[in-house]
Amino acid sequence: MNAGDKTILVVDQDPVLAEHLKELIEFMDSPSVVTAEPADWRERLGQRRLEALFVGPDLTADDVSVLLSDLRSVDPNVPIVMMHGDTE
Amino acid sequence: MTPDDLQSRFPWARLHLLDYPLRLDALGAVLEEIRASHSLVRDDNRATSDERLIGASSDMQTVRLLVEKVAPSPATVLITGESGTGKEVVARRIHELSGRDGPFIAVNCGAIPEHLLESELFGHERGAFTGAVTARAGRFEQARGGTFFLDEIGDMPSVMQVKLLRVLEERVIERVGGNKSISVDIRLVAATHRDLPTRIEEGRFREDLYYRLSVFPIEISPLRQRPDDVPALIDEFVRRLQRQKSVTLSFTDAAIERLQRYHWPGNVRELANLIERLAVTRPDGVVDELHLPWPIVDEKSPLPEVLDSTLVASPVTLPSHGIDLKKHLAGIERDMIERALAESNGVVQHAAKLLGIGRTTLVEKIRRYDIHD
Repeated sequence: MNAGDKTILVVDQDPVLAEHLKELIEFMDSPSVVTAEPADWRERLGQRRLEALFVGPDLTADDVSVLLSDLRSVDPNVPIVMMHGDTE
Repeated sequence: MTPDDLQSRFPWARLHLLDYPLRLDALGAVLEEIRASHSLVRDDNRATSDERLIGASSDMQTVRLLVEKVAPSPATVLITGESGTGKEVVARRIHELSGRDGPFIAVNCGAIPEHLLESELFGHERGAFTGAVTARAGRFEQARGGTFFLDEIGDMPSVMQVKLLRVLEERVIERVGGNKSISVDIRLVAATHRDLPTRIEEGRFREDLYYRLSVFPIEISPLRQRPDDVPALIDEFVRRLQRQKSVTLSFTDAAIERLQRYHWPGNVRELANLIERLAVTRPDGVVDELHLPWPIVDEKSPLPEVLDSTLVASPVTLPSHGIDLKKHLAGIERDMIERALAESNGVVQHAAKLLGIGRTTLVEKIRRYDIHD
C-alpha cells in the first residue's frame, strides 16, 4: 500500500558484485534492496512492489533484453538504472 | 548496448544510466530522481476493480451520473473536493467508462520541483540538461490514446500552467531541449482540493487555464456531509479486508451510528485506514462503539498533548497469534499524518507543527507512506 513497502532490485550475473551494489544503495538511505540473478528475479522479488531496477554491468545484451521485456509485463513505469563499465 | 540502442529498443523504459565503478554522488542523484518521480507519478498498475464509487447519498448519485455522462466525451474534467474524498477514484472511473484504449497516467503536480516536473510531463531530448544522456518521452506522450490525470493542479507552478494551457489549446507538446511539436491525443482530467477561484484572486492560478480545465466540473462533497454513505463504505472496506487478508470484521449498530456522526477530516481515506487498523486491534472481529479510537468516540475533547494510549478509548487486545508491531505503529503514524494534513488543508508546514516534527521529516514520511492529496 505504501512506498515504504517498495523494493529496489539489483540484478547481475555476479552475486558478489550485486551484493556490493546493494550495500552502496543501502548506504544511500534506500533500506529495502534485494539482489537477484537474471533467471530468478521474480522469485526473489516475491510480492514486493518494485521501486526501481538496477541492471548490473555484467549482464549480456540478451539478458538485458529478456529482463526488460519481462519487467514491462510487470510494470512498465518502474525506473531502470543501467550500469555500464569495467567490472574487472 | 549503447544508450541510444537501449532507448530505441525499449522506448517505453524509464532509463537512467550510471557508470561503473559507481560514484556515490552519481548514485545519489539517480536515487533522488527516482524518489521524486515516485512522489510525482502514481502507480499506474493500481487495481481499479476495487475502486467503485460507493454511496447511496444524493451527492454520490449525482457524481455517478455526471461521471457516466462525461466519460464517453472528450471533455476536460475538473474534479474538486477535500483531501481523501476519492478524486482519483472518480478520475479512474471516468477513464474506465471512456472507451479509450490508452493507459491511465496519473501525475501529482504538487510534489515535485518545477524543473523536474517539466521533464517528467513533457519528456526531454538527449543533452537537454546535465544527465539527460538519452531522449525520453514524457507523461503526456505516454498517455496517448488514454487519460491523463493531473492531481493537485492547484499547486502547479505558474510557468508550467502556461505550458499546460498550450497543450490544452493545441494538443501538442515539445520535449525539453527539443523544437519539434508532437501531437498528443489525450483526455485530460484534473483535480484539486484547493479553491481555484481564490487561487486566481491571489494571483497563483491562471484564470484562462481555470476556464480551460473546468469545462465539466465535478465536485465531491466531504464525507461529513453524506453520513448516509458511511455504512456502505464500511461494508465495502470490510469486504476488501476479507478478500485481501481473510480478516472478518463486523460493526455494531452503535458503532456505525457513531461513525456516521464523526466529522471525518480525512474523509473516505480516513475511514478506510481506520477499518484496516481495527482489523488488527479487534482480533475477535466485532467492533462496538467503545472500540473506536479517541477522536471518534469523543469529538469534543481536545487533542491530547502527549500521543499515547489516551488516543485509544478501549484497551487494545493483542491477538493470540501476535501482531506486527512495526507495521501497526506505522499505520497509526500514517493516520496521524493524514489527519494533520487534512486539518491543515494540505499545508505541510502547518501539519508538521501540529505533529511536532520538522517539515523535512514530514515530507520524508509523506513520501515513505505514499500519501497523496
